[in-house]
Amino acid sequence: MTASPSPGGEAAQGPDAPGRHPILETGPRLAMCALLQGADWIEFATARTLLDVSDSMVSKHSRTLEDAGLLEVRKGAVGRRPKTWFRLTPVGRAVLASHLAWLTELGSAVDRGP
Amino acid sequence: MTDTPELDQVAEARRKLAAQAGFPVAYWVFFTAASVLIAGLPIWTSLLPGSGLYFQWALLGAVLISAAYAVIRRRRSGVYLPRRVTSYPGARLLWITTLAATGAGYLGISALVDRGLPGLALAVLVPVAAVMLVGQVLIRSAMRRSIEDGRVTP
Repeated sequence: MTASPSPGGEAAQGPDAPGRHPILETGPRLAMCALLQGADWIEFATARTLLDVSDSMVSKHSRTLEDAGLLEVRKGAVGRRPKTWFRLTPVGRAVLASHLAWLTELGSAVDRGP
Repeated sequence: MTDTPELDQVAEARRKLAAQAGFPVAYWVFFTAASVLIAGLPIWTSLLPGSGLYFQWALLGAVLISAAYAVIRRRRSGVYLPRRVTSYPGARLLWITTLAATGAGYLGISALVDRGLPGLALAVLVPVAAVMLVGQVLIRSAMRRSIEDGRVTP
């Protein structure tokens, strides 16, 4: 993700800016969380298709989000086929909401100009 | 489009998820038939005395088919959307309104049949079934909008 001007100057741009969560700024993590925000569970293959990324990307980023406590992973099977499902944890929902609020405010600040 | 590529990503992901909330035409055809069957139960049982048991079985069949369809659809699509309509803030009021209108329509049809006016009850059945169908279509659209706006609360 490229750095953008922020409403509060340098302090709001940095990784410690209120509401900002740098963990969501790598690869398809933000889109993945946004996808999971509206659903109870989403299956691995469906997430891959909807995000238009590779299996390894979904696997890698979901593990990072799971390690951070933002994502819950459930493994099981439908018939004989092994399946993996994802869902956002309550912490993940809160983190996503605050990051989106930060991004929205950033966009508004850019529109207002210097 | 929003102001930042990140928010565009979010909007795109939500739009793709919202598309999963739609139903095919075949579903709506089945829903219309089931609506006519359910809302018109007082009429059918009065026109065909002794057929109550068959209609109860038909009703049970419609419910089972509907439940099986929901399970199969979730498994095939891989998207498990919240089941409760109350999870979609934009659809709550529409759902309550449709439910109330359907209930009132059913009671009206029952009252007409009880008063020996099955012809009038049949005429009332058409708008009642239409309200049920239009209400459900509007509820699904409201659910899609709630997903696109990120307002779903599972």
